[in-house]
Amino acid sequence: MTEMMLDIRNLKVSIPTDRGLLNAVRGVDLQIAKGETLCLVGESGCGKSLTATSIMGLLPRYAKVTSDRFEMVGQDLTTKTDAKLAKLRGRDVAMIFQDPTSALNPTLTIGRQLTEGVMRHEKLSRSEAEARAIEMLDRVGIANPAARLTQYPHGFSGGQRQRIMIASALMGRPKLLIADEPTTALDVTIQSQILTLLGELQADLGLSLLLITHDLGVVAAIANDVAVMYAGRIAERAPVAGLFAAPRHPYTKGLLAAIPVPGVTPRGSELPAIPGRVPGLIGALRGCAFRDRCAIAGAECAHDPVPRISAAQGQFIECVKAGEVTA
Amino acid sequence: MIPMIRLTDIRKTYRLRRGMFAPTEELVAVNDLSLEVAKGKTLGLVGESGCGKSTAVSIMLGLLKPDRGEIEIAGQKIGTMPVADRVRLIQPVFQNPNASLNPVKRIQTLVGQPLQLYGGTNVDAEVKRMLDLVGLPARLADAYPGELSGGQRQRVAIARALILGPRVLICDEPTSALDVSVQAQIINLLLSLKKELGLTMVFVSHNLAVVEHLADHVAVMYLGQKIEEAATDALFADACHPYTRVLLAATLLPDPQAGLPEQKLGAAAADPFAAHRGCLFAPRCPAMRQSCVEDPQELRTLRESLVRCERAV
Ligand SMILES: Nc1ncnc2c1ncn2[C@@H]1O[C@H](COP(=O)(O)OP(=O)(O)O)[C@@H](O)[C@H]1O
Ligand SMILES: Nc1ncnc2c1ncn2[C@@H]1O[C@H](COP(=O)(O)OP(=O)(O)O)[C@@H](O)[C@H]1O
Ligand code: SF4
Ligand SMILES: [Mg+2]
Ligand SMILES: [Mg+2]
Repeated sequence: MTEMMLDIRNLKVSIPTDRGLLNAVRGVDLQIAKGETLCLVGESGCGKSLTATSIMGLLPRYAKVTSDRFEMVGQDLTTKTDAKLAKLRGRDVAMIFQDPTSALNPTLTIGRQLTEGVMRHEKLSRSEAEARAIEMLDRVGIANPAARLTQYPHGFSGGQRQRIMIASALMGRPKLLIADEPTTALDVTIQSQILTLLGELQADLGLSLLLITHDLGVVAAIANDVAVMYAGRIAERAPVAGLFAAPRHPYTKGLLAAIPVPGVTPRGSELPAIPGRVPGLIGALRGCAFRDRCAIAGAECAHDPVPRISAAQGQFIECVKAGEVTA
Repeated sequence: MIPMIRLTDIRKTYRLRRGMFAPTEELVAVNDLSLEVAKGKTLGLVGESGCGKSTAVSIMLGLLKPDRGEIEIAGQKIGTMPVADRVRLIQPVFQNPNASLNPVKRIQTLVGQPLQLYGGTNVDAEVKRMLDLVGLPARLADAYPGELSGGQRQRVAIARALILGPRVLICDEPTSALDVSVQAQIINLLLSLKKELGLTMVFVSHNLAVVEHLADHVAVMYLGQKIEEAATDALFADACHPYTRVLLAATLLPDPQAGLPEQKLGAAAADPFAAHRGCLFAPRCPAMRQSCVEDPQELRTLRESLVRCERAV
């Protein structure tokens, strides 16, 4: 049996708002094996970030989180306490965000920010912690790392700051790294450097990676497995090659068709857009949440719950008509 | 034939400090930029953030005065043109429609505003026609921007840009904040508007796949300079400049077989304060040699491209 670094069943996150309860995550299953990269992809507002922040235990107090199973890096957290999660955070599990500028404190040196956590969690001495910081900065491709420890974030470019964020996340030698749109704000040349780095780290350190993105190019470049999220649920989960070669959920198909591909999509041709927009998530959603936008929707799509068609290795599609979707 | 858009030798610098107590320095945002777009054609303008695309756009729109150089739209100099004439000729669509759409005004008012301002008649009928043109249901005329989706707000921005009947539309990253499904809707809309109205367009984007789909020819910028320009087919099939090649390689396609490009660039990011002698890309260039930094690099014709690199073959 493969060792699971993350095993979540039926994760739900609800947030009270003045217009009613926002059911942003509505029963998500996620499993990530050791050393695997799972990409969580979907349009904005689908609940990707809330899924990640709830895994990290970083949601605001007023958010309601429940799950049937929540196991992470070998620990059962189903009846988790904040204290238990806080202990894992910054050690076995770490997270990096889209915007490194907001995650790095501009008034503290890089050295201070990198060493603080491990000095507290692992009771390392300052010199031990600094030695590890130098090792990690070197690992992520920051030149002359020892001299960099005394510098402040503003002296670094956007790409370098994202590298420093990654070094910071690696300080506690995590087994699971969660990256929420880590390259969305970066130029494509820097993006490919950061993705290459994440791939190398994963191979060298045996990291498991949950990478959240809305960019299917990023998914194709780095994922082993893909989970496509729509309106708070996973619509389809499949290995990357299969997903791109033969998407089965109409939403996955729609997303892939909407991207122009140089040399493939005829220039100036009408792109097959998905009509409409992601539904509001306040209150209950019954039946398939995609059916208003779906080209093949029928009466049976309103039935609740939507059946899940499962295949080998944890693959599944939630679509009552999945058999009818042609590639 | 006179090109619809012509920029000649545009230069724009900013004076600024790098730190609170640092001396002021000159940042060259756009340098030596010449461009021509024929009537009914679309120019794609690409390059990394900070390379001067938006500055060039503001200059084309007559919103920013260049230090030197000439801008002509439909054969008329934009610098001396009355605003009322200018806005009837050339209009922008920006990345973030929220910035230009007052949240407390109704869509009806927002779309009709340019016409009100510049003395148009039949405003209500025109707004109706515009909403229809951009594919928005008439009932949204009474809505506020906050009630609309991102894609709908971008349609409102386009309707507002078109109500004065301009001949040129300058789109600065119009789909960059949108999801791919909505991006496709907006691209389709721009394509059909271009055909229907005979618009000349400049389409600025950092997404090369989108540019490839929309543009007839493409100019690539690096640190304020045009470093390559070619017809879209030629650029994508046979890019000449090392930077264009890196940019194309780094564009990730929805194809798991394609993988990640090999690392070819130095880690250093582009430095906008770099001395402007020789090739500005040299510090990161895989093909660089000493003469690249010592000799000024001029644009020259190579195969089907105009390229600023002595080493390109
Ligand atoms: N703290 C919050 N309070 C209220 N609503 C929120 C909060 N965080 C997220 N949401 C809403 O929850 C939904 C899912 O958000 P998010 O997880 O950020 O989506 P994604 O990351 O897929 O774009 C969105 O409708 C968003 O507006
Ligand atoms: N108002 C301004 N003051 C000072 N510098 C500016 C200003 N606007 C842009 N710049 C600088 O000019 C360069 C070009 O910017 P911009 O035209 O916005 O590039 P792009 O649109 O390609 O990202 C950048 O280095 C940017 O920081
Ligand atoms: S001029 Fe030299 S450094 Fe510049 S792009 Fe060409 S080869 Fe590279
Ligand atoms: Mg998000
Ligand atoms: Mg810009």
